[in-house]
Amino acid sequence: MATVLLIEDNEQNRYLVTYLLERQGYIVISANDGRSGLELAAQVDPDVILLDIQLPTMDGHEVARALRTMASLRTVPIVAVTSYAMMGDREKALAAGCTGYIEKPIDPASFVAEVAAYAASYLADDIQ
Amino acid sequence: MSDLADPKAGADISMPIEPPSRYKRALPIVAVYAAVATLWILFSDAVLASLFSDRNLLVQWSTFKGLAFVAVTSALLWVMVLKTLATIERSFAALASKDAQLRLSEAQVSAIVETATDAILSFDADHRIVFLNTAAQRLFQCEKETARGELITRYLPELPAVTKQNSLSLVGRRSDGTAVPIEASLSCTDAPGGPATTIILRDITQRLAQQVEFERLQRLHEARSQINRSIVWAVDRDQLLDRICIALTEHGGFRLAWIARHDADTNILMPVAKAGDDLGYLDNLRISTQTEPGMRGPSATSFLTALPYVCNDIQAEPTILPWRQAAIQSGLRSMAVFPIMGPSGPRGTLNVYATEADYFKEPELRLLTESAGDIAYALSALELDQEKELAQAQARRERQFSESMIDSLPGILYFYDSAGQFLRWNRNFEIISGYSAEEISRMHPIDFFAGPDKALVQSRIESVFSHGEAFVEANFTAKDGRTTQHYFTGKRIELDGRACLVGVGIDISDRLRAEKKLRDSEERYRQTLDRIIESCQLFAFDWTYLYLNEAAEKNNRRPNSEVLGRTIFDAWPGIEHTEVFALFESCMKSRQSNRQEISFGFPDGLRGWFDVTVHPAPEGIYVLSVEITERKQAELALRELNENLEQKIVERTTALHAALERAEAADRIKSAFLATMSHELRTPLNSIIGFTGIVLQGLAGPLNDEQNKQLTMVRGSARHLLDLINDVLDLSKIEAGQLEVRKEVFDARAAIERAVGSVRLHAKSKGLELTTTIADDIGEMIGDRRRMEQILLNILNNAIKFTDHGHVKLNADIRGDASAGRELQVTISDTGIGIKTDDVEKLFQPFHQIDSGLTRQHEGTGLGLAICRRLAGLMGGEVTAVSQWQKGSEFTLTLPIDGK
Repeated sequence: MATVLLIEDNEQNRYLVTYLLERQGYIVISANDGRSGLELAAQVDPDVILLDIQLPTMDGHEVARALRTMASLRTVPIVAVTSYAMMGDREKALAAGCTGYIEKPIDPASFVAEVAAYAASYLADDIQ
Repeated sequence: MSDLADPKAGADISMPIEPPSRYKRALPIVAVYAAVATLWILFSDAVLASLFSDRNLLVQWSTFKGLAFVAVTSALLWVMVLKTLATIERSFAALASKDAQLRLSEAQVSAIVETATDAILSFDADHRIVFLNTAAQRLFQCEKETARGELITRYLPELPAVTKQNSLSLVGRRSDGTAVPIEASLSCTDAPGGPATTIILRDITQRLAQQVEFERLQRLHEARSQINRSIVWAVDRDQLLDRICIALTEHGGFRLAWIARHDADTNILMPVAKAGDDLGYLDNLRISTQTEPGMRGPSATSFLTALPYVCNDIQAEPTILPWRQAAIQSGLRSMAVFPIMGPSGPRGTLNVYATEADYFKEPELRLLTESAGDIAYALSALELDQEKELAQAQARRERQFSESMIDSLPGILYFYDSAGQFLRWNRNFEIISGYSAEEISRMHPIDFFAGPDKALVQSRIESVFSHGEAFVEANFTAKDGRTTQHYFTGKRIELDGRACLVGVGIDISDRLRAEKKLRDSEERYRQTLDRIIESCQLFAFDWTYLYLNEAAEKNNRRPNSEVLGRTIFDAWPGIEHTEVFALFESCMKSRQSNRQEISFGFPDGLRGWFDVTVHPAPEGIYVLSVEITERKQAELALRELNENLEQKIVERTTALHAALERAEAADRIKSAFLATMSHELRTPLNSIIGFTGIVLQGLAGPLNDEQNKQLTMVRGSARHLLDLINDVLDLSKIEAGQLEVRKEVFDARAAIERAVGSVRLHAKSKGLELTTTIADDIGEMIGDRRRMEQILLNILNNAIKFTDHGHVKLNADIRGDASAGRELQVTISDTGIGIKTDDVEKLFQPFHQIDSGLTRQHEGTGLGLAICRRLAGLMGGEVTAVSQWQKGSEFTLTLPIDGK
């Protein structure tokens, strides 16, 4: 089953996403800040990275850019999951290296399907 | 006794007296003596007797008298004897001397002959010389010894055998064979040795030379007199110079004479006149005054030194000189060159040549120098004549010019002396007066006037002669009696010490008619001016009032009679400091018209406002003014009002600006607040909506109906809150100008159908009929698809929300044409509760729900329509609404098809 790296500082959100994804059989590894997220990403080689933007000490954009500098993570889908819904926030996230963008609050009915779509495209690329 | 001696003393006994005269002179002396002596004897005693009565004394004095007589006569006798003796002695001495002379010796004669200056020689019948003196020896340059015995013909070949001629000229021959001109006189004597001829000879070489010289000078004088004659009669230079040369050759005896003129441009002495050059000597002559001194010829030397150059023997000149050879070939032996002086140095030379050597001696040179001087004088005089002639020609031309000018002058011109005698007039005078020149010359200036003009003109003429100048207008009377008004000028001028009058007369009848017309016209204008409403005042240059019309009286608040003729300063003390005077003065100085509205304070303290126009006038300036006091007061009032108003507007604008700034600041704060709020609210909503969803999906275990219902309500509230947040966010983005709409091609029909599709279920659940009519020509358009769908969805949701019965209809169409821009128009109408007309516009204001009492019944953020209208505006379109309370509403979205 696919491995999801979740970088999220809010405990409730971490729990919500982890709950939804694990219920569907995903392996979810969480980090509560950017630095530990980067370390974990290097170790676990995730299939999808879910990245909150508002993070302590190192924000999501920086984390995304750092992730893209790692050779093994150059093509892994990074999906920004953020409550920044203001004008231009989506573009900023994509410019920092994110593959997708899911606005909070998430819809529990469709969230897993969206993540699955990102992961599937990555895995399909891998197979090819 | 002494006076008796005089007659005797008068007889000079020393003078040789011829015998007859001797008697004549002696006789009266003796007669006088006899008479005096007789009278003395007769009367002397009578005189003594009258003096002395005493007899003794008388005898004594008589004795004295007798003694005195004896003394006087004795003295006279003594003197006479002495003189006679002296005369006799002289006579003897003379006789002795003559005797001595007669006794001169033969040797003395011989010595005299020897020392005689004339040559004396004698020859015998055989023509052999028997005697010759030292002078003869000298004459023939021979030895006495050898000559004696020689034939006389050896020395005098021409001597005739024996001639009776006493004197003759012959040519003698010296012993060396040279000839000598001789004058001889012969005498034949009978000498002891036979008959002999004595001949006295004199060398006349010198006398002959003097004669030649004399003849030369004679010729030169003749030539000079010819030259002077030529000068006197000379008409032009070339002729004069030719004649001079001819005079010099024909009369002066020169072989060749020529005159050269110096050409300053080429520095060449050019022969300009010559005579006697049949030899062609001058043909090849070229004399430059710039030749080196060594090679310089006589002419150049004379010209350059301004001194005569004399060459008495051309053959003796250095042979290298080029001219020498030519001269010798031409047979010329001597020459002289004389500079002809001009005003500033030599202007040429006079060259004369003779065939003899040593021709030029001091007298010849003097004469020729004088002739050269004459020539120079003549040339200068000729030039002066030419200049004078030129000047005369110029004067003639000028006179012709002035005469033709005088004759072509318009009007009449006259010139007469103080007696009224016309000296000069122009042609017009004759034409206009009708008198002939001959008649005018006999007329007086006053004759051309009649009636009172006579006296007037007379007085003016007098004033010209007394004051120098005068003018008069008078009728000029022509011969036929016609009169023409003229303007006459007169000016006194002095001509040859005579006072004369010169002037012109100009026909002014036309001008007078024009002036009359002008005066009439002026009068009319003046009458008009007097009565116009505008005040009119005329000021002279010295600020005197010259004219005021009737209106001026009103404006000035005083009668015109008070100011007329006075100066403005006099009439209005202190006016020079007023604005109105400044205006007048500027016009007076600049001569420029000007117009200004000016207030003027009258002496009574009141002020008046005037619209004043100033114009320059020939006399000074004229001022037109209209009183505008009332208008000005109204204007002032209005202006004050305006100024207040403006002040208020300024204040209000300032306040509004401040408010605007505050509002903008508040807006910025609001936007920042909303952005933060949105973010901060989403985080908890994420949990609420997320977990509610999880629970409702039954993922965390089964729920009973009540739990399901309540959690559904929670999820509804949470979603409503999220909608609210999203709407607020949208609105704030729009208002902050942060929201951008896309411009991309999309299918309008599909977008409309999608929007309708998403509410179809909802309408159906409310039992409403939802109908859609989309025009066939609606297809692709340019714009923001998502935003258009959002607007349509919002309106459709509202329609369904506020309609409980009936239907909701959507009608899409295209309006307009290609040129004006085609528009998509989507109208959504319902049969809902409707909106009160007054509230229609409030619909589009944020957070405004009509009749808040219904809020709970009809959930919504209250921001939807506000957002719709703003979005439509961003896309170049609009959203409008019409509604009828309790009947239904109709919302229309209009968007440009091409996105512009």
